[in-house]
Amino acid sequence: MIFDSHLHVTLVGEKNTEGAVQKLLDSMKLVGVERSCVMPEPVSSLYFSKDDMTGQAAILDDIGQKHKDILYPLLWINPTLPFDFTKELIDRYIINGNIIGVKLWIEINARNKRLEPLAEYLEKHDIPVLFHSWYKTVSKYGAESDPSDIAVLSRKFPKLRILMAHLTGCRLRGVQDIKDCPNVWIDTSGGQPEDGYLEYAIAELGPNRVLFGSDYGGRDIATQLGRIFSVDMSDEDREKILSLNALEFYRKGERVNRHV
Amino acid sequence: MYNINKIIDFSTWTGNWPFIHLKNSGLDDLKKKLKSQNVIKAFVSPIESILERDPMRADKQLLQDIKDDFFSPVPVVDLSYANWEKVVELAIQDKRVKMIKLIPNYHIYELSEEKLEKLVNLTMYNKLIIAIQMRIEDTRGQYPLMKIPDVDMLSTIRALSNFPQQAFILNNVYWGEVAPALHSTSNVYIDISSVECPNVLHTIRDAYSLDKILFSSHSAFYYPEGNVFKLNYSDLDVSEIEKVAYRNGEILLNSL
Repeated sequence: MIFDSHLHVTLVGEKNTEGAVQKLLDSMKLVGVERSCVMPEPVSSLYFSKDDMTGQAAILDDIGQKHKDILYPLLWINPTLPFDFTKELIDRYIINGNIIGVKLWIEINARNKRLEPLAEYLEKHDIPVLFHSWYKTVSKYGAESDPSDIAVLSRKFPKLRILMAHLTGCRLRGVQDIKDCPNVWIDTSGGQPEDGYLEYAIAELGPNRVLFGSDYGGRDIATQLGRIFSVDMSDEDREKILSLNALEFYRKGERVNRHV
Repeated sequence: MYNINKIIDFSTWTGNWPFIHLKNSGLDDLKKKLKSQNVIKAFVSPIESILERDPMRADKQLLQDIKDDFFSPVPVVDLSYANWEKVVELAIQDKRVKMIKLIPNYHIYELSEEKLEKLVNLTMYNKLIIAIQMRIEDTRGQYPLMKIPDVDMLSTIRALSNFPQQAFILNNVYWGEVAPALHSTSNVYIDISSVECPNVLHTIRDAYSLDKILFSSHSAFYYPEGNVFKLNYSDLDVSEIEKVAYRNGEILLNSL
C-alpha cells in the first residue's frame, strides 16, 4: 500500500469541491496511492482569513467523513489569527470531528512564541502537525521555518508529533538538525527529483522516521514516488516509508485516550 | 502502469559535483542505472565543464573516456572563452558527437543573436544540435556562497528565433516556461526532466502538444526513476508516450 503524506487539493475559492476531490482520487489511483493526507492549496494572499479557515474546515470535515480511511484531512491553520478562534475550530473539527491533524505553513516561524499556545494545545490532545520547512538560498518567505526552527519547536514540546515537510528542501543540514528530535519525522515531498537525499535521511534517521509524500497539486505523484524506488533498501523499509510510518503518524488522540 | 522499454535520454551528466556526492555519476554506474530504466542511448556531458575555468579539458576527457555507443558525448562550449571554436572543432571531428551544450548562466554570458551567429554557422554546416542548459539546480537549494540565476527564457527564445533552421533543445525547463518555449518556435525542443505538474505528459499534451518534447533524466543530478515514472504512470495511449520516450528524438536525430 502507498500512503501519500503530503498532498494538496484546491478548496478555498473552489466551487466544485467534489469534482476536485474526485480528480484527486483519480490521480491517486493512476499511481497506486490508496491513502493520503489532504490539505488545501495555499491561497494567493498567503494568509488564510477567518472565513477561509472556517470554510475549509467544514469542507475537510466532510471529506474526512465521506472518504474515511482513504483521505486524512489536515486543517490549514493561520496562527496569526487569535488562538481562541483556532481552538474552536480544532475542538469542533479535529477533537470532535473528522479532521485528523494540522498543517502549518509560513505565517509564523516555528520559533515564534506566538505559536506556543497552539503547539501546547496540539501536544495536549496528541494531534499530529505537518510543518512546512525549507533551507532556502533565495526566495525565502519572511517567517518561513527552516529545519533548525522545527528542531527548536520540537524540543519545547517533546510530545508534539511533527512531520517536517520537504526532504529535498531541508537537505542534508536539515536531516542533521532533527536527528536528535525523536518527535520529528520527515516527508520526502517537494523539490525536483534530486538524487542523494533519501539514502542520507534513511542512514541518519533510520527508516522509521521517513514518510513518502508528493506535494501533489503543484507536483506530480509519479515523479516523487520515483524517489522511493531510486534507492536500494529492504522491502520492509520501503513498506515503512511508503505507508506504515504514515499510518503511525496520521492518528489523533491515542496518547490522550490511553491515559483516560 | 506501463513499462516503456525503449528510452533515449537526451541529457545526462558524468563527473564530480563539489556540493553533493552523486552516487551514479561515474560512466559505468550511470550506464548501469540508466539501462536498468530501459534507456537504450544517452547523451552525456562532463560535470566538470560547468565550473572549470575552461571546459575544454573536461570535454577532451569525456571524448577519451567513452568507449562504446551507449553514450553519445555532448561537449560543453563556453562562448565567453576565446577558444570556443576549438571546442566546436573537437565536436565536429568526433563523429559520435551529435550535440553540443551551452551553459550561459554558469559561464556568465547572455545568449544573443550576435553570440550565436558564428556558432550556428558551424553547427548548421556540420549537422549538430545545440542544447541550452536553463539551470543545473533549483536556485533555492544552491550552495549559499554560489548563487547562479537561471537562464532567462524570454531572452533565450528571442535569440533562438533568429535561427529557424537550427535545432535547439532547452534542458531543464520548468512547467511555467513551457508556454514561452513552445508557443512561437518550430525549431525548439524541450526536455521533461524538470517539468513537473500533476500527470506531466497528459498536461503538456492538453496544453500544447507532445511533438517537441524529449525525454531526459538529468541524471546523475536527478534519479532517473522520477522522469521514467512520468512515462510509465501516464494515462495517455502508449503511442503518445513513446513519442516522448524515443520517437520524437529519433525524428530529430534522423533529420540531421
